[in-house]
Amino acid sequence: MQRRTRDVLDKAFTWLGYISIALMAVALILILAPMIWGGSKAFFFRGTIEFRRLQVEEFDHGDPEKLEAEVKEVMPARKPVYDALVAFENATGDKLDRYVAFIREKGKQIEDERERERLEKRLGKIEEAEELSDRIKHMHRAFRRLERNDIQVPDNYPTEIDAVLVDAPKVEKIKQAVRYLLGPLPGEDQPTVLYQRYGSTRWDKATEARDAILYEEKWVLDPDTQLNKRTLEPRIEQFRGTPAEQIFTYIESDENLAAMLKPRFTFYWRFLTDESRESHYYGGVWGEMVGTCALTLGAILFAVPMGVIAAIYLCEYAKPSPVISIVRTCVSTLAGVPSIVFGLFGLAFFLNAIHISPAKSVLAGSLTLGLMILPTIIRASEEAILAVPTTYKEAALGLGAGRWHTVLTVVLPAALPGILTGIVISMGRAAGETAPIIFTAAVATGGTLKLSNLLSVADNPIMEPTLALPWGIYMMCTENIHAAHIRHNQFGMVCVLVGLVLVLNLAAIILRARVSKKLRG
Amino acid sequence: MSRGASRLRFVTKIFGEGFLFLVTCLSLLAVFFIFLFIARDAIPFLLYQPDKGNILLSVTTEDGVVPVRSLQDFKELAAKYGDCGDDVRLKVRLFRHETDDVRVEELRAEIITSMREALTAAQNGKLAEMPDQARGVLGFGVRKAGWLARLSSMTSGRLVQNGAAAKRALEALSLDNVQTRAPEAIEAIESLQKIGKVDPRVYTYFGAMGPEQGGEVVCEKLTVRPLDEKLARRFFQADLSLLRDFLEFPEGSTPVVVTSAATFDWCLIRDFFTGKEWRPAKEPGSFGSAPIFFGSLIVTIGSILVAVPLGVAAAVCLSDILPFEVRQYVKPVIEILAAIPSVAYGFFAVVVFGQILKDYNGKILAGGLWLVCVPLAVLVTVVVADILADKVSAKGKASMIRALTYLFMGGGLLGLLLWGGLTLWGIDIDRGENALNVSIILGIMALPTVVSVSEDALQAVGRDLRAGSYALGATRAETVIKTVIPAAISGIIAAIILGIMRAIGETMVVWMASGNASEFPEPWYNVLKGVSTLTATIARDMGEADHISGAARFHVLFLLALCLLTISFCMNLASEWVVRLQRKKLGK
Repeated sequence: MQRRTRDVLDKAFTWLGYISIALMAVALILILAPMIWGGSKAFFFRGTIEFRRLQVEEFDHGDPEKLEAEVKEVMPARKPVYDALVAFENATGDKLDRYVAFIREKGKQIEDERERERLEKRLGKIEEAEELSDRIKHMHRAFRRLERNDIQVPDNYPTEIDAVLVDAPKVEKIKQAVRYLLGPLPGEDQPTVLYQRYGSTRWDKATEARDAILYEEKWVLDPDTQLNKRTLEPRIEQFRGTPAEQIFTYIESDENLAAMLKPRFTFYWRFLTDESRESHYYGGVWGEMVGTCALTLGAILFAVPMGVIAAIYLCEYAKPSPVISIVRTCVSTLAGVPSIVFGLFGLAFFLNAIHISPAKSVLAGSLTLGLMILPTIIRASEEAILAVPTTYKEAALGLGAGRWHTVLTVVLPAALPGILTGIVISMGRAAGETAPIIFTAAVATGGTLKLSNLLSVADNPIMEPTLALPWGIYMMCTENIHAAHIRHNQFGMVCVLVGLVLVLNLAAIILRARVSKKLRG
Repeated sequence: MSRGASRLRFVTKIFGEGFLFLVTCLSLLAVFFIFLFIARDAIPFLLYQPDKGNILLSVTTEDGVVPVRSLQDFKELAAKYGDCGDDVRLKVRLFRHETDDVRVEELRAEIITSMREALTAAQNGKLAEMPDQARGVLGFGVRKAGWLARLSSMTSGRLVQNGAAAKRALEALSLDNVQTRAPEAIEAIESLQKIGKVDPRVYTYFGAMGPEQGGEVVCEKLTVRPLDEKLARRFFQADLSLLRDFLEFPEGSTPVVVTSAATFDWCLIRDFFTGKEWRPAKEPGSFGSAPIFFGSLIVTIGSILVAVPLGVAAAVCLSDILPFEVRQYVKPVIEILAAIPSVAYGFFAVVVFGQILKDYNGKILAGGLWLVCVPLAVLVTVVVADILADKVSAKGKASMIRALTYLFMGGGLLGLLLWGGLTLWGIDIDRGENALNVSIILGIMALPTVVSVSEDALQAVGRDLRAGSYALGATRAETVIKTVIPAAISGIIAAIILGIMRAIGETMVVWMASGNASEFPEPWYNVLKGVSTLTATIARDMGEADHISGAARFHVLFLLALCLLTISFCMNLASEWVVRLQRKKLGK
């Protein structure tokens, strides 16, 4: 082969290496960037007055008096919308009332006494009926009774009455959309479900809600592709000439919307310390954070003593023997067991076989996670212990210290930073792992663990199932009914978990850098 | 030193070392127990006989003990002994199968309505003056919700949280403090709403509701006595108290479940591995796991195609190309890539990457193909042209041959790529959750393992080998490819095996982003269709399977786990063996 070809191949080879490293870095950035960007939206956003109301009423954060003043300020801005809705409804009601009056007037012309009485009864039913559709049904019957008695009625009455019936659901739809934007309408009962009690808490959601009022989403068949295409129809067309028309022109302008909601730039650091409400529709991730920390600490408490002792034995005491090589194989097997199998084992052994707790619990989850990180800790500790220079040991032994004494006072302190690195890395792994806790510890709804009960015998939190960040992310992303509406909270939770794990790993990296400096120097 | 002291020292030494040894053996014990308990729950599947009705009670009647093997037996018995005097010992009511789903829905709606009513009253402060009837409604709701919670905790792990939360909140909501606990009650209602379908078979086992709830009264006057508690325990996985809660049993009597004699049959194993239909929810379920193994295989191959070339190239770059200062900054990148939790990768795969795939359809595939293959094609053309030109001695001819090669081979390859890319361009991806998405993400996840292990292997090849190669005039590429990689090949193979293990064992990404379709894609190489893997199937179906009563669909998942465990165990042994080989070869 020519020199030139070899050079080309050599260059290509070098570039292949560079590109692979660059691809890896790009992959990392591409994965982290959306998470951090999306997650930042859970912390930084333009919070509306509804957000501040939520914070005061649900979480007791903020000044109620100031809020009240603000609420008073936005009321005039919201009034046109509410008034228009009321006017529209009244207009509908008026139409019906006019018909009732018309029927009553005509009814007087009926000669038969009995027939007249029946008509009166029908009219009474119209007034009693609560549902609009019932009233209209009775109205049709009343008209028919008039017709039967040969009384002239307008030809177009059925269509006109039905037009009212058509209007009613339309206004219901707008009212729903307005509720989504501004919260319950004045004079309505407080809804029992929390997320209906507040309007849009964030400006981005508020503009979405406005669009939902302004446009109606329709799926129209596209003749070219034979697929349904999403189209937005301006809703105002349906309300031309009615009092409701002005709602649309009013909320279309950003200024009016802002006056109604008073958005303000908010740094919601309490996302970390608030509990979630309505399965993360509102609120933060405190419960999940506490649960994850409890599980991780539990796992560490179990795995660290076991792992370090095993490492000491393997490095300092064990003589090469078949048993020891089997143990080593087992350690690496344990490291290779898929995490879901650990989960099944936790279910089959801790819960179903030895009944460590009546149902899923922090204890079962911690033990499962602990088993999972055990090999990592053993390996890291082994490496750290082997990295301690033999001169240290020889000096200690030379001074007459026993073997155990040497290990405790010389080897372990020297290996400690390395062991700590391993511990911190496995903490990150335990915090982020989902599969082992699905069947053993994690639940998606429920309260924060009551860590204050940690010392009590009854309802000890370690016997309770817990929320956890990874499982919360899974549930919020796939099973939550509002999944598409609360992307910001999902990203926020992912961001918190990734942040937690990254901080732990950063700590490990720094720790290791210091160790290697120390060992070199 | 006195003799006593030295003996003491000896004893402490023995005990101390013994203790250390025992702790060390914990991992041995753990591995043993994992195999044992996964196998213990997997074996009943192989002994299970779906069509031979292996329920139910043994019933003591006037004529002696009568075993009941099927619902039909039970009904006949009930018809025969239905009215034998006043000795009423047990009321058993069984539901019809087909109505059960509806029943649950009705029941749930009923609970929610009654709770709502009671709550509205409570919120208006009218509970004190509420008629007893309304209080009863509340109590009824509490009782039923507890029952439902229990039931759903048996049927479905995923529902436990909702059910348990509901139960806890409802219990807190005793009549006295309903005013103060209203939020919790609302939460309870919310979580009740989330309780999904309950496995209908549980109703058949524990149909203990009053006739006012529509239960079909099958038998009222039969005494039930224990026959074989061991079998019963196996059937109900040891919690007979559950049964007692649901049936009105007299003191001292135990419900007993008799399974028909279970036998081991090779057919079951054959059907398990070769069956093409995976429908655990069917009655009787069909458990053909071939599509699931296929899904695991295809996803793993895909991820290896991503991870191995990239990972080995990166490892070579780290060990032989990059200077030490840069390497220091690259290592944390690998570590962070390894540290990101799998659920975060899964979230990325579903929310970001899946969306991108769906939005850009074939364009992204074509772009990827061109990005990877165009440089390769150019390189191949240049090299082939050089080699061909090399063979010709005349100078003018050589350049002509080179030009011809550029024209035909380069043009041909690029044309091929253009055609391939345009074909891909037109492809429509209708869902972002598919095998391709999962493969790429799993590849990225397996990358750190592959890189770090193969880098270790490359580093372990000594400086002297490299120096020798350079001294003979080899370029860096030749040194690495012809000398270093062959020397480190077993370590690289170990790295690949570990990467495969990582990809096979990964759960969350697959569960979230694979589309969870337990069937063969059509055609089989279509990576844009959803698949399901071993891990994802276990995680998904375990949520719906009955955790306690030990149905086939519960045990079959343990069988899958056992397969997974065996695969990873064998791979682990293989990688260890390969590493040992390398050590021997390098003489260390």
